[in-house]
Amino acid sequence: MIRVVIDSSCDLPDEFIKEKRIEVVPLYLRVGNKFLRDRMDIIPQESFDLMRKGYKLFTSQPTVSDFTRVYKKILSAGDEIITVLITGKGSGTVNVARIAMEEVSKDRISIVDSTQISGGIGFVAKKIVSLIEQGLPREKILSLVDRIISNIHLFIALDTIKFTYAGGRVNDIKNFVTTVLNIKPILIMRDGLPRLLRVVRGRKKSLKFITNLVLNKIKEESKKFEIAFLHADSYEDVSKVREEILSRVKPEFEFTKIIGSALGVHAGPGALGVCIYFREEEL
Amino acid sequence: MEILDKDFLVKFFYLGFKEVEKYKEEINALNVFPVPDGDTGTNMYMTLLSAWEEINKEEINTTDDLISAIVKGSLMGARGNSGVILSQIFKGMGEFLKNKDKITGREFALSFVEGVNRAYKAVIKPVEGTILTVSKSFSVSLYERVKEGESLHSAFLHAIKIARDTLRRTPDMLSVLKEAGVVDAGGFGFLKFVEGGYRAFGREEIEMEKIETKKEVAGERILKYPFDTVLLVRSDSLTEELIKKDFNIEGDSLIVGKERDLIKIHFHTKKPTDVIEFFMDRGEIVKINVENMQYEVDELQRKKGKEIGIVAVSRGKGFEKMLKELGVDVIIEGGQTFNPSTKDLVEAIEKVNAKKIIVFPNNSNVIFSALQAKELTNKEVEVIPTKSIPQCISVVSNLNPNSSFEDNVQEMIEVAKEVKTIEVTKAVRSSIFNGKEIKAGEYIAIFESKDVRTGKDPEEAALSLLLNLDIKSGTLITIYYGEEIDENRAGKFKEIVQEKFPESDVEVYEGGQPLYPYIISLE
Repeated sequence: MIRVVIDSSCDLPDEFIKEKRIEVVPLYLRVGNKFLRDRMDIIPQESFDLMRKGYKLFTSQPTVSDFTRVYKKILSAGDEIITVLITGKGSGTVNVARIAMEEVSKDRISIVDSTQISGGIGFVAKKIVSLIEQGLPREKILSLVDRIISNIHLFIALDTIKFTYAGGRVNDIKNFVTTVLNIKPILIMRDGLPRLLRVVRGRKKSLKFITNLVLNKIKEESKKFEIAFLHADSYEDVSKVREEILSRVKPEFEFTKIIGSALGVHAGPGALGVCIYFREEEL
Repeated sequence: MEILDKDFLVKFFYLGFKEVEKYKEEINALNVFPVPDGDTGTNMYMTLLSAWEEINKEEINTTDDLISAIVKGSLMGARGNSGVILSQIFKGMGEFLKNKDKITGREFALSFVEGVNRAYKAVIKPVEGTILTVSKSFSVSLYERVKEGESLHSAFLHAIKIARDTLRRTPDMLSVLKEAGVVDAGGFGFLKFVEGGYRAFGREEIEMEKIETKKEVAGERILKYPFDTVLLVRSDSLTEELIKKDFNIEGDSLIVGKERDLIKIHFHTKKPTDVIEFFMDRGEIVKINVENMQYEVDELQRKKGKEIGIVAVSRGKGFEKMLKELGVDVIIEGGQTFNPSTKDLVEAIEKVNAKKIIVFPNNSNVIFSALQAKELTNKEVEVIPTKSIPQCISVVSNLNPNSSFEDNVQEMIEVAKEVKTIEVTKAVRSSIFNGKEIKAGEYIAIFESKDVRTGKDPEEAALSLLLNLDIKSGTLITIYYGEEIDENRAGKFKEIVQEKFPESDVEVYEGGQPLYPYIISLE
């Protein structure tokens, strides 16, 4: 059978991960010379607390041995592997996994660059799981990945640009090094990187904006969809957005999750995201 | 023929590792590519440490044992991109050197070439100007010289020099490095590793030329100490301590190094002649090199230019700061009762280094002059008819680098419509406004030149107007206080407004404008 391996920046409901026996390779949080495993040695709430207190946290990709360990375990049981990972444009994780694959087995392991983050990776992984359950072979599944990815839309509302700016992964916000105004960028994942969609001021406006953005997108596509509500320790706000959206439209599947520390370091506390996956009947 | 034994290789690796450890923080500080998270030094160190631990864990009897420990340890413990690349270099070297009874100098040199090849293959999209380029120039030079019969020892020293030159040129290959004024962090780390390793050849302690890894360009457009001054002075008596003790010239970044009777001084200052004078009677000046870094910075800015430039009319230091931070290139002083001329606007437009310019008049009386200015310049100009500075602030923060000029202009016109402004000022004379009687000395709050409310103080007038408007939940109310209001008073006013409008976000900023105690925007 084929098993799925993800990294800790991939967001899916915990029960789902457990039930489908998905293996998670942790990214790292670096504090000085200390490396903490995301969602293992440090839970998201802890890191958001640290960030609010002003601690400077850094992230680091997994090591080759983090992957080889998991790969060897799965292969020894006679299974094959599809690895679904955080966008290669934002992290070296895909590269590390590739090296690990070459160490362990080129034939029985595949690596997918989801070009996404958080729930976006989650939906790629989830769809792959369902294709595995339908009995599709690995080659066939891999040939469908691009189509799956094209049906995923992830919107992000930052509460502050401070952390994203310091993380240096969103080029577009380099223009907004404002210390005076309290601006709230709205980002969209596009071609593997978060891009600036709009800048709004005021948290309430920002929540309203992302809600309308999502509702418009769902209306525009008018397809069956699944949706994820993701937050960087801003449960109350994401719940409001969720209620508002779910009062208007009915998804096939939905979940809410706090994002991992590795992504959280770049999003900053208070950020929230909504990820939609539009179902394609023939897929 | 030179044969490298196990002990030499252990020593080589250990000294390289230690050198990277020593320079860890300096390497971290250079890290801007691919992402500026300041961990390249730490990552390379951790990778080497993992290899060193593996060496100490395993029983090492042969060079093969040693090499496989280095390959395994560095691979398993590789951190970050630079660590992964380093581990791949070792892996390539290891595969080439495997099962060789004796390793010759030539083979050792060739193994670097193999290692770098391997690293290039391991990276999905190799980028030049990084550790890859530096290690490649090193390995190619090393092998070429050894192949021609030069000793490994002397070829190695030459290869270090080549690598150093390549490192210096990394900013020319990778623009992010140039913009930040640094050489590549990973490349510097690699250089330190081979420099450290070189000491394993023993015999003499080589002088490692200090390489300038950082230049002051990042962020700062106006340099406090623009002249980069380097002097070479010959003196037997002068010491580093003596110089540091007596040196009292204004400036920064002083570096003093002494090699036998030659002293090299590096300093950033406003007046390089003072530095020269200081050393005139303290020793024999061998060489002087002065560079104006300000010129370089300006050149860089000039060359860079901008796709879209912004000109805005504004008044008040708070507003000015906000607009500058939001990317407005030129601010023209002006506003109510103080309108800039068409000529002022044309001059401002010409001053901006961009082909396409957006102009914000920020006052209904300036819109016409702005449109005239548009006709008088060869640049592509669009005027967004903003009537207030808050309108401009909301609009400018929406400049999207991903959209075209036309789309941006369209978007901005739309956004401008969503922003409504309230102006609070003091009535200078009694009058009738829209049927409402206003007494001289009273404060009046005007909404979009339509609605008006009065009050004995600015807060009362503003609040009375706000309460009279239909403010929807989720509206952002921004209060910009003028020069006659202090921060404390504005803060208290904000609390009151927030209390009255719990469903809105209320923010307060210093506008610093004259005549208007408050300008309030609703959006």
